[in-house]
Amino acid sequence: MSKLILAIPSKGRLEEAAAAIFAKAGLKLKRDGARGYSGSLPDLKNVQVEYVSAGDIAARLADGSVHMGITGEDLLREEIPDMESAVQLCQPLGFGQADVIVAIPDGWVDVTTMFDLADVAADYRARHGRLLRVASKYEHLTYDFFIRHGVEFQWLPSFGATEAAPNSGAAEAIVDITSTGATLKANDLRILDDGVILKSQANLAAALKADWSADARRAAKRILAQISAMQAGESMMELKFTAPAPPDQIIDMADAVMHSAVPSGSDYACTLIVTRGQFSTLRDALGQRGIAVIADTPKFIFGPDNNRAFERLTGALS
Amino acid sequence: MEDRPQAPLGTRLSSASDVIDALGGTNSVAEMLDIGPSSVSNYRKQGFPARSHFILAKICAESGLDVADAVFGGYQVQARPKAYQRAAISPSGTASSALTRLEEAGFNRLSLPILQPAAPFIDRMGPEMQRRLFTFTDPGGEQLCLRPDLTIPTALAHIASGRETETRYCYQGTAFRYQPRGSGQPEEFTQLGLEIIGGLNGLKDDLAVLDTIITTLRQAGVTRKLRFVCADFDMMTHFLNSLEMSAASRDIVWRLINRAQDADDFKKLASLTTDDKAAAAEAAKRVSANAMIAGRSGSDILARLSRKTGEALDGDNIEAVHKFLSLLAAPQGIEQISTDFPNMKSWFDTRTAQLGHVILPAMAGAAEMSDISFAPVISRGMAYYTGLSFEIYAQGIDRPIAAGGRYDDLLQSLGAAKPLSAVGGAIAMERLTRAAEMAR
Repeated sequence: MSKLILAIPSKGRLEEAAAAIFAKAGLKLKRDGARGYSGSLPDLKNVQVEYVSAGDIAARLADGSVHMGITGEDLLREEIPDMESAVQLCQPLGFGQADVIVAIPDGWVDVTTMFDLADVAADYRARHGRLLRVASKYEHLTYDFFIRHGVEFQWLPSFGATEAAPNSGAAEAIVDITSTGATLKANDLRILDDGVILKSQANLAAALKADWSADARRAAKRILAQISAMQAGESMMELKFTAPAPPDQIIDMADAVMHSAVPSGSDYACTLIVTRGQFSTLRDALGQRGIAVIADTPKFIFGPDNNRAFERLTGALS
Repeated sequence: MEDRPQAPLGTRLSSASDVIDALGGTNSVAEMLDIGPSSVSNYRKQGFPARSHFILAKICAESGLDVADAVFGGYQVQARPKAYQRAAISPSGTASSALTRLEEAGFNRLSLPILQPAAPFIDRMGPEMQRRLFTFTDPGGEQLCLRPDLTIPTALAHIASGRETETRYCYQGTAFRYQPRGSGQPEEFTQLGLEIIGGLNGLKDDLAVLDTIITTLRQAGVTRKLRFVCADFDMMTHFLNSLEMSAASRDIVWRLINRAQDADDFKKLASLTTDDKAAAAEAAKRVSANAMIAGRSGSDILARLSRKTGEALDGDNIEAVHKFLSLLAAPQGIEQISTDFPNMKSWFDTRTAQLGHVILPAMAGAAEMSDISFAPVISRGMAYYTGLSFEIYAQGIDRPIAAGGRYDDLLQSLGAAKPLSAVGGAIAMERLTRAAEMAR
């Protein structure tokens, strides 16, 4: 049977982050030579890893020549028309977070919304006899968003230093990706109040048009479950402490995913798994009772929820 | 060809022998090439002869086999490109006879270039249609497009001719529009159209266009009742002018109407435009009046800022527009509008009299009165209409089979020396053919 083909970004920060996620999920990636373009998962025999240029992963997922791949949601939505019918976003991976946004010169103080921009764009055409120019590498995301907001514009292809376009006079507005907004600020640009087109991050995505053999499905199920269990673990805290009596009050306080209190001599050895949000409250409550706590992040939490992503995928494949 | 066995991915065939095995062995390849098995055995050692490269490369490509370039002497069949749908009409069909009849009726037949400069279409058709243009750059660096309709090319041809008197044109030709995948609409389709440019007869010219189109539909065999959806840019302009508000607010209302799905949606959108005065005062401090920022002067920016804070749409006006839009969408709402909006009465009396005496009977001849409706805006892809515009629907086909209208400012905006009135319309020939078949 044919293996599951997994596309991993071939270099840079994205490759490192992808390798780190898989390692944390207990599925170490093994690359054939540091610059090789193939690899494997020693713990999962039915997977063939392909190292693909980050910009090509969306296209490979779209045509189904790989089964799964790691890439940004922005690239998937930009490059694949009708993305939902070709690709399923299985799991957001928590890195590569960035917003695709509409930004304008900060000095346009009368423009705070897309509606304002539509007004100015109409006026611009009347005065200058041409359309407002929007520089971006995101042709499709820009058209979809601007058409939805009724803004007349002309798309100006820009594949680098896009944020410089308004200052250099090449364009009036930009659609670009930003994580901190620092570059925008440095170039006197401002994001419109309703100008966030997409909150993007790296995703593990599955190709709906790939040839899904039984082996490929089994491998996908395993990969998704491992990552899901790892992410479930990361969102929780594990608390260990020794209490003189069963800590019923504490357990009631905590909306614990799991808890145990085992007699140990005259004391009780307790373990609680709680959400990160609850951690500080419980730590303080235990502190007041003079109880010392060992806290750590659980590596994995396995449970029925781990298969959600795979069930969604199977649903879309059938 | 979808039935051929699919090779496992990732195995690249690098010799003639591999290819022969992958295609089912010596005998089956011999059959494909229509030669003896012993010749094929020789190929295993000596490689394929050039005369078999094309056919084998094609079979391998169709079977999804990955073959090293050297096996077929570098010959590769490219992956199958996206299949664009062409829906052209045969020249001997109904279309040509329709075109001939238009010529006989005094319309000058135009043969227009398929390749057009992209700029006029981008400037005049609005963002939705922009996106559906097939654009490209020629080797000399000019931005070109495949014509998405034939009205702008007709206007450009008229301007180039330098004519200043009324001219009637007709044409039939392929137009090209990108279609989102899965829409089921063809990228190539045929338009039969007519345009009256420089006419001086006002609504009579509109009527001539409408009559000619209806007649053409009838002669082509679309015999059942039609349905009309009209928009009257004049009516909307006069309505907006009848409201007490600034020109800037009027622009805002017009754009909201263009965006809104219906009257209630308008109200919702309008409620989002109110502004915070304190924030505006703070913002004004950040820009100086003599600055120049991305093509806009500081004074323009400040002027617009004070305009939008000072003149947020007031509730009465929003209510008035809401009521107008609701009536427009209602059956016989037009009559109600002229009684409910006294400020517009005199204009309305004239216009409805004209519509009522001239246009509506032409439509009513082909449709039930209840199948003639008004919308604030139609043909959203066509931003150039300035007067009455219409869409004609036939039973059983959900897209319009014909559309047209008046576009009085188009020619001057494209470079005509003086304003030229213009009105025209086009028939989607493939839809017409389907409608005629259904009517049979």
